[in-house]
Amino acid sequence: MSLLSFTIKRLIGMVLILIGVSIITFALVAYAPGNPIRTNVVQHATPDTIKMLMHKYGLDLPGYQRYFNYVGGLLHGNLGLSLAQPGVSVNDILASGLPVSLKLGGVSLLVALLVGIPLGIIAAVRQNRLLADNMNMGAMLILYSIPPFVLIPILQLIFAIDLHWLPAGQWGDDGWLGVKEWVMPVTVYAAGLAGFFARSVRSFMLEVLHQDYIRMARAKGLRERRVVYIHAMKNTLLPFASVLGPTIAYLVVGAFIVEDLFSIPGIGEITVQSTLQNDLTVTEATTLVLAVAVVVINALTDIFYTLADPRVRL
Amino acid sequence: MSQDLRQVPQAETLSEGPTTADQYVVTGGAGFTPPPEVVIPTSLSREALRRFMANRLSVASTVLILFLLLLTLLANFLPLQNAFHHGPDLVLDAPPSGAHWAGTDSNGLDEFSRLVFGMRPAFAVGIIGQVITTLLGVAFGVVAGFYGGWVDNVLARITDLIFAFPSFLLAFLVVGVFGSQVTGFGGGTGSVMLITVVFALVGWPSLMRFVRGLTLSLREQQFVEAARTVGTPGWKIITRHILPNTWGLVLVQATFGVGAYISTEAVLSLLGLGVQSPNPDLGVMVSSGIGQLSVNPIEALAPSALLTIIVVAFAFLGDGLRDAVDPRGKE
Repeated sequence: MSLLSFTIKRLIGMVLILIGVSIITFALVAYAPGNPIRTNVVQHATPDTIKMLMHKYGLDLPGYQRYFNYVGGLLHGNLGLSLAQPGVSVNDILASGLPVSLKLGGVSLLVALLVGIPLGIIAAVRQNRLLADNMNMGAMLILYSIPPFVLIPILQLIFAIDLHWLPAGQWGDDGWLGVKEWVMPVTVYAAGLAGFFARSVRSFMLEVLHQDYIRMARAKGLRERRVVYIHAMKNTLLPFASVLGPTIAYLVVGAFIVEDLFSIPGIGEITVQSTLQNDLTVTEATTLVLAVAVVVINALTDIFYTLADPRVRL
Repeated sequence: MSQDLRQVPQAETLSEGPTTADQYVVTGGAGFTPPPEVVIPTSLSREALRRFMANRLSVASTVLILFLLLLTLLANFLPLQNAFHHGPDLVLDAPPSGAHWAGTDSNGLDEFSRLVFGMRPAFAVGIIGQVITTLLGVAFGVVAGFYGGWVDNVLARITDLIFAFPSFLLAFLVVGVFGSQVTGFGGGTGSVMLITVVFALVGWPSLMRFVRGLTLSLREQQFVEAARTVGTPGWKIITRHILPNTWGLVLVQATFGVGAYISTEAVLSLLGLGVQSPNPDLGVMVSSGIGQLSVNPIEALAPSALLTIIVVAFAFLGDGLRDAVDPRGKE
């Protein structure tokens, strides 16, 4: 299959999946039990008010028409109106949280990459050494498998309550305090990812190091450093794109837990609070935005992968 | 010679993958009477059990899981402190003592009893949810793999869609939409049932792909071809030849899945979307305990430690099962 036809096919698949995602999110919220207006917006409203609000939210239209309005709004970047806060657009509610979550997730991803990749390489190059491989990978396995809801109370107990080094459950301060507020959430967020990255890099690297071209490079007398960091590295980082899917999923779940337990006003925390208040249009919007991000990133990864590695073009 | 009859086919089939126990029944020709020691049946499942029992970590995990499961199932009959109403000796956030082994929580309820009762949602969602997931995944996977055609195509599209959707988000959305409707139902069992169903609905596609792959490779093997040649109907090939060869690996997948379901249930309850507060649940206990860290850290640490122990025990159990049913996978 040529690259162009693969790309087109993949993009068409992506669009179909996006349509499916929009149908699922729409149908779940639209056909949720109970009248969203009556349960949410007004407690003691006259039938006329409810009718007026139903009309305002477009809830008096037949289902397919509501779906087309919903998708039409989405294509214009309009996520609809909040149910719990009448008249407020969901875009405005999420807008305050999105930068917080993106920054937190981005910084944590960066930390995880900076810690995980070098540790994975060291473990692969010094395979079966006690400190560099076995203990290193053991620690990474613990980091990877320990759930955030275990790490968070332990860290808060040690660093916030016992030692008073770092603040717990505060966010958005300026200066040095603001920096200190970042330390624990980023540590928790990055810990699992770093363990995951280190273990994946080690296995990719080991696979590459056993290939013939590496033996060839060594045989012609190249320095070990050059063999590892130039020759092997290129083919190690390539399959790294395949771990991106689980990474994104981890970042999404992490956003919900870390933001909730550290009281960080990001998109995850906003969604949790809105859901608890039955503001389902916000839940719907967050789910959709995150799902679209995952679908698009997965498609782009696939396309990038076929571009970079001709072997996967079938 | 008699020893060889028993050993050789076994070594061969092991290297090819799991097969049915039927293959080892030695049926000699006329005049062949096997000596008594040959008749000792070493079926594949017995071999797997032997390998599993040799793995101490997995056996210990199994014992631990069974112990915790029995403890939480029989909690009503054990002489525990009341986990739902506090007694006359109301002390909030008390440290561990003879009466309250793990202290009391911020409502003055006995922490230890709540830990015991709090395992119920975890085990219920993990085990029942995984059983439903497995049944759905195996049924769809075998049908898709064995018959192929449009059934396979339709199922492949559905799994593509559910795969693209991060399963946590889908579960979050469904629980968010229906959660408030079911919380009042059956004293907290409503949300447990909802989460169980949601996880099963979201979780089956990955198992389906796994079983489909297994079925595709089994379908091409000679014993299936032989069965087809003698006119065995499709459903009988599936139940007699395909399914018995998949259960071992399916069991391994399902065991790993239980741990995943338990921790996701805890996360949903921790966020306030699952089991609701007066009902004991490990996730709820972590979330309310974090607020009391400076007063009584046990309230957050005990449930999160217990959750970790359960999840890790299921991981070790899965590891042991995998090495037992598929020894080739062992590095």
